[in-house]
Amino acid sequence: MTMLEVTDLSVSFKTPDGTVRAVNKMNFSIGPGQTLAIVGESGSGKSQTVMAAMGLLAGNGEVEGSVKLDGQELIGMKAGDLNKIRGRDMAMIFQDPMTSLNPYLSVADQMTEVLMFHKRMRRSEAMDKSEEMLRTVHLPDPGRILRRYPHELSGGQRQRVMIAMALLCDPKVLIADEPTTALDVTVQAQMLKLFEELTDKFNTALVIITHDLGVVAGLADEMMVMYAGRVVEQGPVEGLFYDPRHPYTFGLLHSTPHLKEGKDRLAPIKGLPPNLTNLPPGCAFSPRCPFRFDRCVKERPQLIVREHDRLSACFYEGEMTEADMEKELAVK
Amino acid sequence: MVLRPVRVEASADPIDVDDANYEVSAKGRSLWADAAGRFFRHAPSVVSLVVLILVALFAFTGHFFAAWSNEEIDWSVLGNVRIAGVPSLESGHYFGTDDLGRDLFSRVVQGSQISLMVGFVGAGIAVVVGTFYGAVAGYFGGRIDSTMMRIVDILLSIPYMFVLILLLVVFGRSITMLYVGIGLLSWLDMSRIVRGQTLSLKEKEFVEAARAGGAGHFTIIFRHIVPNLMGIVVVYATLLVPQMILTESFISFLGLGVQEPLTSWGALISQGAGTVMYGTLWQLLFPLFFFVVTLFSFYFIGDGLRDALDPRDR
Repeated sequence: MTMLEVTDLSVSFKTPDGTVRAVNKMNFSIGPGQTLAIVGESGSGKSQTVMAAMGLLAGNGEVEGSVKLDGQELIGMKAGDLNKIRGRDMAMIFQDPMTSLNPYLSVADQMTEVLMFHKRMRRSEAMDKSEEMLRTVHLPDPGRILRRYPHELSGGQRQRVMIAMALLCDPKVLIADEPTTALDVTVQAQMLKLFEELTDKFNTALVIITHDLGVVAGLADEMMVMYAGRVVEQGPVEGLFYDPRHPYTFGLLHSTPHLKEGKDRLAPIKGLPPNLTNLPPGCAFSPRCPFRFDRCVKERPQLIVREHDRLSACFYEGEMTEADMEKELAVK
Repeated sequence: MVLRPVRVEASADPIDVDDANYEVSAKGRSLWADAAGRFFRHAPSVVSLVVLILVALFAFTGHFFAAWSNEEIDWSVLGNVRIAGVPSLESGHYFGTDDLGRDLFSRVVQGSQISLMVGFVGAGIAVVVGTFYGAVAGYFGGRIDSTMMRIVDILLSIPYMFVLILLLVVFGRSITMLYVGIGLLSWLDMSRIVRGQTLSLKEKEFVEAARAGGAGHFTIIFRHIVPNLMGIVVVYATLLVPQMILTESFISFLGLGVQEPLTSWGALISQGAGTVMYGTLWQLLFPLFFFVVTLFSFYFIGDGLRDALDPRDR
């Protein structure tokens, strides 16, 4: 059973510098209780993918393809109908808990608003439900938190409030856009644990966007790696972590600090992400790839099935080692 | 150096409620409550507020204390205003009489009412229309924004004093026309300020979060954007009230504004200034005193509010 099904989703933006193809032909699906992680550098299109699904793109954005929520097509839906779905069936948590709450409204005002709009609840009912939800996300003394204003709460408390708010209407799909980036490490760990607990409890499909591979490892079932608006590798998390097939995934994993191995040097990916208005004709990663050969520069590799659940977009099929990543790239 | 893995145990309870640093109070303090606290700690603002309340009390309850009504003519004074019409407690003319023997105290009470009304009505229109117009233009942006703001630019480029005078000449001098004229123009600057603020507010994450939560455009404007604008709107409105009073006074000073038997500070000052050469200085000084004190109070309150609601602090 699938809860969210994305088929051939593309997003482009018309800018004065030309058309930016931010997302190209994305395909994924996710079932209840499952967690999908979308990983990639800043500007790789991971946020735009979910923004498009939520209908929250900027005015100059254009979407193609299809996004089905529990069988219902969302792309091209009227704004009024979409408003009824957003927040009720599909909720979103934003990166910065410091700015995602309205500073002039108390927590109670902001939480009950959602319930009063979507569930037509009376305020007193909505208050009870909000209090219960704050308890569910392990905020102590929820009655008092409700009367507080955002500036009186800590970052972790605010993020819990955001999560509670997103879960108020029992959504089928929860999208978390870098939910732990703005939090400190101990709070991050608490949040991940909370996400895990909540997806189990409510059987919510969770899409988590992050550039932190540690988050993915602990939480996700499936993983997608994006580069320059395209998916370069997709598959179950264990597979991608232990046996990456795309040099970019390999590079990402090896530029992450591992405490256990006690390495004192990291192998960063050389070069910079490409400009989306001016992509190379072949593989977008080829200018930074130590394994590239002629074909990579001329032809764009398609995302194809390698093994039964592993997809990768790369022509290279040989071994990859850390020493390769350290090699200086041949200057073209 | 060897780094050792650290196990982070996530605790269910992230806050130690018994922690002394964790402030325990039953009710949350809104940003408005904070601002009010700062405002009331600022002495000049509080003094100004008290003065303003006294002026308002004078304007709206003064006639209960007057010995003479504002219409009665004291025939015993007429023709001998300079000597018999001086301010005195015995005659009941606390502020003296005007040139026609009418009680100046009652006239100032009446003038204060009208001047304050003009100020508040003008500022009120500016707040309601300007905030709504500016917030809609800023929020929707694009072509709607350009069209709406060009209209404002065009209206602003018309010399408004000229229009106001024309309006009063063409449609007759009446207080209604004065309200219309002031109301037509007072919201323009407000809408520009509000639009500018809205442009930056709508990019804030809580607006996006509200959209992701399914809120419609007008819910977002009224529930999320307008409350965040109120700080700057309130500050600007308190500065707008004296501006409106000044405009009205200027028009009345020219003889185009408020017409007899009604009066305003501007009209009274104008009459007082006209008779100064006959030695009846009080006819100028009493209305002038209320005028100046009120304007000062408004400016001080505006300043106090601006400090209290410091926009950089958000």
